[in-house]
Amino acid sequence: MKLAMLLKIESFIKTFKSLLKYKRFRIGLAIITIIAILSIISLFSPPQYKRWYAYPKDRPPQLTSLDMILGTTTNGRPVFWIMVNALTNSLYIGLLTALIGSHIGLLVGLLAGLSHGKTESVFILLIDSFIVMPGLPILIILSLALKQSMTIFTIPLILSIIAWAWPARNVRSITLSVASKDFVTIASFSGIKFFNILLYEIMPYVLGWHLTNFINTIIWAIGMETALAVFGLSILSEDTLGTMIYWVLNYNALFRGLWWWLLPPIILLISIFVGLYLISVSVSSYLNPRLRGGGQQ
Amino acid sequence: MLALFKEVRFMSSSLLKVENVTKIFRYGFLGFKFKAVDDVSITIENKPMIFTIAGESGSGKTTLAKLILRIYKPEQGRILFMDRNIYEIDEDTFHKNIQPIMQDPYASFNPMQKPTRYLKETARNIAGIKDEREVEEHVAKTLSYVGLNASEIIDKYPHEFSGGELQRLAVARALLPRPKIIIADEPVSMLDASLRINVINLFKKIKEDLGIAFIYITHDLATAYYMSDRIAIMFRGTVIESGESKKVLSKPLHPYTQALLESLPEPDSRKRKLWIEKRIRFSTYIEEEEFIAKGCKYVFRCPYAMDKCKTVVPPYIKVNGTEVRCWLYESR
Amino acid sequence: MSGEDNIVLRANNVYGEYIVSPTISIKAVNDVSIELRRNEIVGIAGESGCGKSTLIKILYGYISYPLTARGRVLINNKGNSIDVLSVSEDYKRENIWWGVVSYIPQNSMNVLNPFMRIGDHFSELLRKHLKIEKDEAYKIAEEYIVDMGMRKDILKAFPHQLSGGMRQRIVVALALLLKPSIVFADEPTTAVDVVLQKVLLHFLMDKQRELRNALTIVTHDMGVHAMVTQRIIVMYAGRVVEEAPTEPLFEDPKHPYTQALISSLPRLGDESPRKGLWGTPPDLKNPPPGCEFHPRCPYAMDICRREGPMFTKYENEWKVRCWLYLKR
Repeated sequence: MKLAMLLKIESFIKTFKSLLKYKRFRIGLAIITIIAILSIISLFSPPQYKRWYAYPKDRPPQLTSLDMILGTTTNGRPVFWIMVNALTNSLYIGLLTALIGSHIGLLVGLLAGLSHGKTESVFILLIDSFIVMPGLPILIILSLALKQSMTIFTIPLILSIIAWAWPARNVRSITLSVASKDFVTIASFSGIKFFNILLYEIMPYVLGWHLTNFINTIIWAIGMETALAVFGLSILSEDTLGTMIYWVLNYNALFRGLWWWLLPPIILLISIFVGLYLISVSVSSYLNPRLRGGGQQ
Repeated sequence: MLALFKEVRFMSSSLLKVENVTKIFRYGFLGFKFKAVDDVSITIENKPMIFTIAGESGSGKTTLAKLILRIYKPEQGRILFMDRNIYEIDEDTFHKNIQPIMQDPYASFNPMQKPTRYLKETARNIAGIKDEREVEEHVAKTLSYVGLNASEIIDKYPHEFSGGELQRLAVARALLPRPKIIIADEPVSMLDASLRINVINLFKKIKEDLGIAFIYITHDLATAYYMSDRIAIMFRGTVIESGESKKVLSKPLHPYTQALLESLPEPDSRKRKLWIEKRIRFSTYIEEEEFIAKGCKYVFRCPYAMDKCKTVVPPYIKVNGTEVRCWLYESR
Repeated sequence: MSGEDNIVLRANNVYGEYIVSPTISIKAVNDVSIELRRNEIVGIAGESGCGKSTLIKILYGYISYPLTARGRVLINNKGNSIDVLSVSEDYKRENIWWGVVSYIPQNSMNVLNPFMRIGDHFSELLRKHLKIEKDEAYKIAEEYIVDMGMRKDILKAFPHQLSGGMRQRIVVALALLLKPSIVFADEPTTAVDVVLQKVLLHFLMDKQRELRNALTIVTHDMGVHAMVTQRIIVMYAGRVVEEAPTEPLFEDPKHPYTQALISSLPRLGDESPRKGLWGTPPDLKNPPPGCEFHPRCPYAMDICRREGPMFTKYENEWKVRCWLYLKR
């Protein structure tokens, strides 16, 4: 058992090293590392950054102190500290949604891909119904209804209701295609039981896609929360990149020339999306030649 | 349970019996339904023999193989192994007695795993060898029987093997539990021509040494002639001719078998003149029409087609020991 | 072209390599020289990895990354001698392909445009090369199709509506439409069933007899070679190992590879035990020294492992590349 774990870590390191050869992966990784560092900095936020008018309002960036490095908002709050906290909260929402949603999708997708007949039809109906539902309008309605209980913990739950469907479809089609391959038949005729077939024959193919789905769900969730926030439907007690933009719009910062308040969330959002996308795309293309039977390197 | 099973073996005269099996597929959104296998009955006697099921693509031969292997379930009819319905046999016994060899050796093994894993698993789970050293010995012995060296193979992944080697590995794996039947679905089509005969000879050797029966699925009538004892020719899901292979392949009765044999280009340039002179009338046929034909399925292409052939399915008629499904042989 | 009216294509010292990385390449075609003559059916035989498909692509002039080629491939275009390897792809598209040289691939969908009706395929070719109007082109196409024994309404169909065999027939028809003097067929009947294979090959042979073109069939199926070709070129590991007229070659092959190949094939009506070759073709990224076949050759001698042999030429246009036939 221990040996298996060691081998898993070893192969993970090998995979990581191979991924590093891709330019896209290196760039993506660099961006995400910067994002992560910024996020960690949020741990050192001064306690007063949340209080309105703790600092002079509408000040442009000054290099006098870390607090003022990105200026202040119309509410007299330091943009820099808001930014790093908003970043952390947005990432948190994205990660949590991805954890819940993509794993529900993984489970449902696996079950759907391995079932036959009526059970299969039920699963297909379930997955397709959720995929077809227009995500944003439903989330808007839900947020309006649940306005009181929108916290950092509940938003991921609400987003997961929609987030699981696409991963489920994805996993189902991969499971279907792998399960119908000859080597699964041969494994079965080698006396390998169903659960082991699932684990050692099918899962290695599915996991690759699951990883890409996971990353894509993070991107999707952060995007959705931002969209909701811009409508004013997200949580207003915490900062997220989305709520930053909401306040920017609310106070007309663009027309008032407060560029230091508007640009950071936008740049960060774009960076997260681009960084995660690059990582996701390089993982996908790394997986592809292997799926065509390349085997270990 | 196993003791009862052994008794059954000595009593049953047939190793495998396919009884009036039909398999229906549908493709396309609105579901064009067709019978990939249509009312097929085949009996394989309980003795070491090579039984060929031959046909072109769309004949249903691969579907039939998958039906026997329990990959597909028939809509009608049943398949009996030693007089027991294959769906009433438990998984382990079934796998111990019937083993497959697939067409593409590279698809038969998971590209991410080492093939030796499957050999060892087969030895442990199906052949029931408990002792790990014995497992390795048995695997090594079987590997050398098929002409492979265990120590050279043990750490390789599928893509590190040539097609011929990998297919021999697949044969070794199927051989490990000493099954009663091996179902080989086009086992040499993807191999180079000069390597094919090696695998074919191996099958013959296995039949003679170990008493294992083969169901050999192919479209290559030359190898069928070389190695098989009995043959069944399939066309659009039905068996149209079956009997002793040397007889069927040298004196074909059904017009389709005749057309197949006449068209076969042979690596013997003395047969050239005949091959060039004998012309085949090309009729444009539509595949779907042939599948759902009410009478004989070959009616759209048959040079001897009568009115009866269009509406009534011909029965099996015995002619000199060969069974042929054709109205031409009525009242003999 | 040295004024020999008979030779329509002359390839000299052709090399073809697939670039895998800056330091690694697969030497698929290694110093091949062949001649194609008017009114002759030539077969190129060999198994996987021998380089026959690559050779045909090079002779046809369709060379795209990662394939690189060098050498000379001379053909006759309206009295001028042209090196297929040195003219531009545009030139070939305008002047050579379809009109002077044709290529029939294994998979019909490599030629047919899934968005165009069959009739449009014909008319496009005709209009481009014969400079005629659409109606006239359609009429010619109709006559041609009927002449081949197919129904007129096929012209209105899209490729996916026809069966694979039908499509392959259409592709063969298109390839011969403009009456090219050189026709290459790369495994033209491998994907098709045996009865249709005979029909297609007969069609190709009839047209060849009528147009007197140079037909080259590349296939691993020795049966097809025996029935159809007049001369066979046997390739192994990127090189030509033997070249001879068909019937004598089958009766008494000289090269050990050809011998092993032909004797390993089972025939109808013949139960006598046969033996195949053991081992595998060499890795073309790193071919073995000397003769490429020596690891598998039952007659391998010391010199075979060190040096590559030269060709021995016999009367009857028979060539063998083997130390067994070279006097030392």
